[in-house]
Amino acid sequence: MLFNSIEFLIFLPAVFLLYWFVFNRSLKWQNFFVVFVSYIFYGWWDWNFLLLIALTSFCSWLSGVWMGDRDGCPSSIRGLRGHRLFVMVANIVLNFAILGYFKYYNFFVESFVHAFHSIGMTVHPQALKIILPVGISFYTFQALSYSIDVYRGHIKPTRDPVIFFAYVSYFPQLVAGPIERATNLLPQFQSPRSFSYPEAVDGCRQMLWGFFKKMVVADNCAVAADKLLNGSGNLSGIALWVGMFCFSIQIYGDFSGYSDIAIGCSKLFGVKIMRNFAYPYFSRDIAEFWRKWHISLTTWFRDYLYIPLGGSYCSVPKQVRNIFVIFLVSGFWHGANWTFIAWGLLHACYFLPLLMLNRNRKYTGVVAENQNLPTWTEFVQMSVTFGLVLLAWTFFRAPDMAHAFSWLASMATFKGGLAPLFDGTLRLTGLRLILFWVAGMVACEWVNRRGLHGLANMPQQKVLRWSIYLLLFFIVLIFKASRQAFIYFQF
Amino acid sequence: MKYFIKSLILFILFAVIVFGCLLVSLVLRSENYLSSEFRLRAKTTVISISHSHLECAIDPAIWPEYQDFCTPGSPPWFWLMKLQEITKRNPGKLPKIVLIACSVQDMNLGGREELERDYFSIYLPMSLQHVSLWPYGRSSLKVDDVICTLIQKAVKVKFDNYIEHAPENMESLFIKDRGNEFLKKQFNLHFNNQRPSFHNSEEIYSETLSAIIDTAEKNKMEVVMILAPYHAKYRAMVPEKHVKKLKTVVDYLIKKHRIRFLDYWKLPLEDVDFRDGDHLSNTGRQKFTRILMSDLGFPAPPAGDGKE
Repeated sequence: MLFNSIEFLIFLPAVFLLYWFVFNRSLKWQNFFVVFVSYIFYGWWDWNFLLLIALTSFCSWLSGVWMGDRDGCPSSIRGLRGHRLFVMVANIVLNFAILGYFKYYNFFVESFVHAFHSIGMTVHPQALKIILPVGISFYTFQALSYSIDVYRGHIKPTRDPVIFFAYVSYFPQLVAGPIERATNLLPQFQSPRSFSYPEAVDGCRQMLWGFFKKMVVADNCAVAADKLLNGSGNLSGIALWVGMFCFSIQIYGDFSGYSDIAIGCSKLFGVKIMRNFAYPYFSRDIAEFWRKWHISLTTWFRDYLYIPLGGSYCSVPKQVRNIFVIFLVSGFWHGANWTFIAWGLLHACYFLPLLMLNRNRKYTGVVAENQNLPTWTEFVQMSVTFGLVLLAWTFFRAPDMAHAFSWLASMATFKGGLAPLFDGTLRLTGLRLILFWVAGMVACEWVNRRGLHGLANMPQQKVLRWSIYLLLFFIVLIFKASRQAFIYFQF
Repeated sequence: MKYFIKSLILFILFAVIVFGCLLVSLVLRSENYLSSEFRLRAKTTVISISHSHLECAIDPAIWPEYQDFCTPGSPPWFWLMKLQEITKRNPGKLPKIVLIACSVQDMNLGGREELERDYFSIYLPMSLQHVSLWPYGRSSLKVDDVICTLIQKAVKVKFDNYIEHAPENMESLFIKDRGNEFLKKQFNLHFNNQRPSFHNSEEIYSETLSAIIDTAEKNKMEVVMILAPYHAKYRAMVPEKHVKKLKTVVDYLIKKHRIRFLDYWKLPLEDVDFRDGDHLSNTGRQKFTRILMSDLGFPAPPAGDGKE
């Protein structure tokens, strides 16, 4: 079920009323209800994949139980030394096997075919004709974090499967994050939730802001980006710059819009989920960008991969290795394509000089914290960072590496000169209206950059506040573009 | 909790009332059609979905395979809606060719009043079409079909439904008004004191035409774009930038969709053949229909066979 669908418009109020008025008397029943509606939410795409998420949840829950209670283990495992490690590794292997099968199998097969072909051998392995289950990377990582946290002793394993299933499948963040941690979410399902009026109101605001970012900004940018970047033949430099600008805004509006809707929606149910974006395009360097972009994934990799590898407290060669590993894996997480890997590696190259110069934690606060506008230096820093990120998105957006390099070459040389400005290529993409919405979004987020979302600080006067809500509501209704799927569903 | 739900209901009620007012306003101002009027005749193989330029240029009496769905002053978004409705209403017997007009004024018309009209009659229905609140499918004319009918009944306002007609007066004004005063008035209406509006930008215009072509292609229909004849005096008055604007859009559509474009901009016709600067008269449309039929590969009946 998509957030921006009529089904969700009916689903959400119904679930809200049943959750607070029918199932609120018993925590167990309330949790059971969460699992039930989350499975309906997920099964709306394809009921077959419910089995997969149930399997992932069950195995991870069982691994927690076995790690927490040695007596509960089968005798074959009980006898082993370090059985906790064994159980955790087994669960990780199983989850990665499922993920690898559905997401990466075809990629490896194709890569092997190419590799063999380059040495003159021809092989014909069977490619899989399967659809990638929606959000598989998100819920797999969420389940894995539980196993690792239980193993490390950061959290006590839960024996209640309903609570654990609710944690893995909680519908607001099930298909595109934020990737929650058991340490944050499980305790909330273990204790009774209470309704908080300010939280619920803020949740509604955050959802409204998320819908604006997704349906007005991102979807309109998507139309322009597709028109400029999907064209056959050689694309001109200016068209590519504009197209990539639109894509950069699209991917931000799309993903952060989804996160805002998810977080806001969760607040209605008395459950707080972690922040996923902190205005990343206001970053002054790449290190700050990565502290503000897809925070739940970045911190996941930091806690479960980067720090165990030694992080930045090791020798310089190891630091370099760690940075490349984490960005490479991050790229690979996004998709089974060399373009994503190149995207990750390019970001590693951006990040490395900052780490080597020990400047990677230079900007940790809010930009222009005590001023209304940024200084010229801050403005230039933000523009340069955005430019670097935009260039890296080229790999993310291009269908393959050949296209990515050809696009970058055209962008660097401004191929085609200024012709696109006059031949209708740019004028026919609706850019003026798009720039208007983008400017509106940037202005709102800049004003609210100290808050959690673009509507965090609203005027005190009720009439003014409601007028803003109404205006935004109508803007979403009237100026939304044709419905596009959320980009991050594919991951 | 109760306060939250109360506030939420109040907000929704408020939004519904405001939106309802806009809706009533939209229906009162909008073009209205009944879906049943989009049925094709058995022998129809060519249709036109445009404004007065094609309506005045093609005579259905001469061309039995042709069916006219044009409405004077209709902007391209309504052409798209009409085409979608036609494809929905006539499965399995769709025409082979869809004629659409393009004109130098298409991206220019839109004064202060037009702007308001555009907003209510084009963008609101367009957005409502996508709300999908009605079980009629995303692209049906549900707003017109359901809500309009209800509101028409409620406010007892008679709407003009779509009627196949040509403009009432098809006599040549060039013959009546030798000073051609009407031409200056017409030019002022088309090009002077106009303000940009939502739909008369090149982006929206080309985007909508592109969507029409996509819809036609999906249903295996060929779109032929026609620039109907203009009187030489009118042509001379049209500012060059408007001709360039049209050329930009036409080039873009030809490049993107590889459609046929028939340019009759400078078709040599006489004064008597024009009703005004950019519409043909009765005699002009009979001549032009034969020319068009021949260009599209249809056998044109000889002149004076009594049909006209």
